[in-house]
Amino acid sequence: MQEIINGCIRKDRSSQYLLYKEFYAYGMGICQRYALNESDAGDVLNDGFLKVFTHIDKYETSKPFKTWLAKIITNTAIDKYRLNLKFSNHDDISGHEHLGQEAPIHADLAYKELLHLIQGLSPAYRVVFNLYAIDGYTHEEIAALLNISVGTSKSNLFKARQKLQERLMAHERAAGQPTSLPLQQINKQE
Amino acid sequence: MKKEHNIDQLFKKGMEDPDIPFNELDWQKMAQKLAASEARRTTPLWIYAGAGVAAALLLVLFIFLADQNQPTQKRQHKSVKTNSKPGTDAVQPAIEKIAPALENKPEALAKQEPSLKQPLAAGLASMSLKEGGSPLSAAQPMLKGVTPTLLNTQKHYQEQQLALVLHKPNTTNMRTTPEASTGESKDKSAVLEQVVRRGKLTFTFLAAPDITDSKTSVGTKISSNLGLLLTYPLSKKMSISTGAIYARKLYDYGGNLATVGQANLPWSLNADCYVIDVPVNVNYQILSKKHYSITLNSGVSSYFMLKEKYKFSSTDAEGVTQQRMLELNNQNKHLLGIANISVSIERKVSDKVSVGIQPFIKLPLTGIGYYDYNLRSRGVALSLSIKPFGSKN
Repeated sequence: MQEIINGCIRKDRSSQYLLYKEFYAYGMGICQRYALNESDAGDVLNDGFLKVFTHIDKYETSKPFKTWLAKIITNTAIDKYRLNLKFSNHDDISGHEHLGQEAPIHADLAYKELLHLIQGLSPAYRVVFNLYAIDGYTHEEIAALLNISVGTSKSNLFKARQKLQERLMAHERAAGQPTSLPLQQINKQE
Repeated sequence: MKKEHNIDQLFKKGMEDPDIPFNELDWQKMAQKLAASEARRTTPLWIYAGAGVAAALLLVLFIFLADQNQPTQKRQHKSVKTNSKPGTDAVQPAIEKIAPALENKPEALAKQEPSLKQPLAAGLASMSLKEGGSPLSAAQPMLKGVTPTLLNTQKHYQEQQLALVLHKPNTTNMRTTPEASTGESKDKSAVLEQVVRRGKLTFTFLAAPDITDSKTSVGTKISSNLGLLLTYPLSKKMSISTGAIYARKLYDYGGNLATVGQANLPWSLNADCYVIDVPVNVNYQILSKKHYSITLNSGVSSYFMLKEKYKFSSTDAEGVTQQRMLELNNQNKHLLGIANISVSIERKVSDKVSVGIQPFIKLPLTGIGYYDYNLRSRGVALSLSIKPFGSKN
């Protein structure tokens, strides 16, 4: 791995190719969650990798490369989101603290189905849900990153969860599968 | 540590480490992005200069069109001012302009403004008859040797005539002034009307087959173009054109992974793109005969990609071919991303109509389409040019 990174620092195209291929799925996974469609995801991925290749000499080898890459690609996706802010839908929080924890959800959805559900969210909900639920950011960090209030971040997260839950249930009904598991069961299985 | 919600858990678990197959085309695009980024530091100045020239020409055209309206407005203002002060002050400069001509010879009157010609000539003739009943030619010596009294009489008469003359155009202008002052939109339409009246605009309909390809193209396909251009002359030989061309670009390209040191696995891509091409060209007429003319054209085009359809085919190590489709709508635009070079050979059919052929080449200044390929087009356009407002330019 270090040899590949050294090659990238020398701007060796073969090394760049190997690095790109090695982390393509991981990077694309992040991009697909933030982007509206496959085309956008490809653009974000390549914009992110361009930053990676341009600044790879600043990468500290003592830290995991995957974490560094994820941060760059997430920031690139956020930049793209900011450009499309006209679609944002911010609401302040008011009594949205509790969502039905007992709501049944299907525990065995494939990656593509989950991705489809996330991509169906509005950009404002999607970006907050991704940052908070999957990438582990706090509401304070999200508020600073997106230049919104903490309340808005919480509100958008609440609504994102609500939408996802509705769609999961609709998906379940459409699939005609009676094997839905309450969350508690999912947690117990883990 | 924050408490995880059930939905959060579901998605986090379900979306970590996705199994997404590697797409060679994404790398191709990445490689081009890298190459462009590395080359950007050494981008030739002429690209920026070309874009600057095109922008400057547009500005010149805009100013030139705007100027068409200004003399009319100035004349109107002057007329209104004269009308508001019909006394000696307003007439005096005109008298000073006309008097020397009267003192020299009557032919000089012909050189004056048409509106002044007839009343002054009539006035002079009637004055001559009043003085001695002689014809206009006989008044010459008399005018040269007039006494101060006669000069005063003559000057007084000229003032009266000039007041009449200047009053006449004013009445015309008073009719037009309200129209000119009805707002900016009418000003703009007046500019357009004036341009159109002069008959300088040429409308050119183009139909052109072309071949669009790049360095890595495989095979040849014929693309098609259909468009309308407007040409406005800047001088006798120079003109500027713009318009819109609807084009369908068909091209195939491909390669293999050997370029990055991997197994030699071939891939190819079939593209079918619908594009609006907006050119801004400067034209220079190098030959002009009675019926024929030859013009060199160069400029830049912007491509607005309406629809892009790609079919990607790749063959894996086992020899199995996989195909993947991608369709994009209104995703990409390339402002001033293409350089145009062409030669127009036109034959006049009538004063208003000419037909021609136009060999052309379009060279990429930037990557085109979703995959940023350096597409070039070359072909021959058939043109039909019309000057609908009857210019003889």
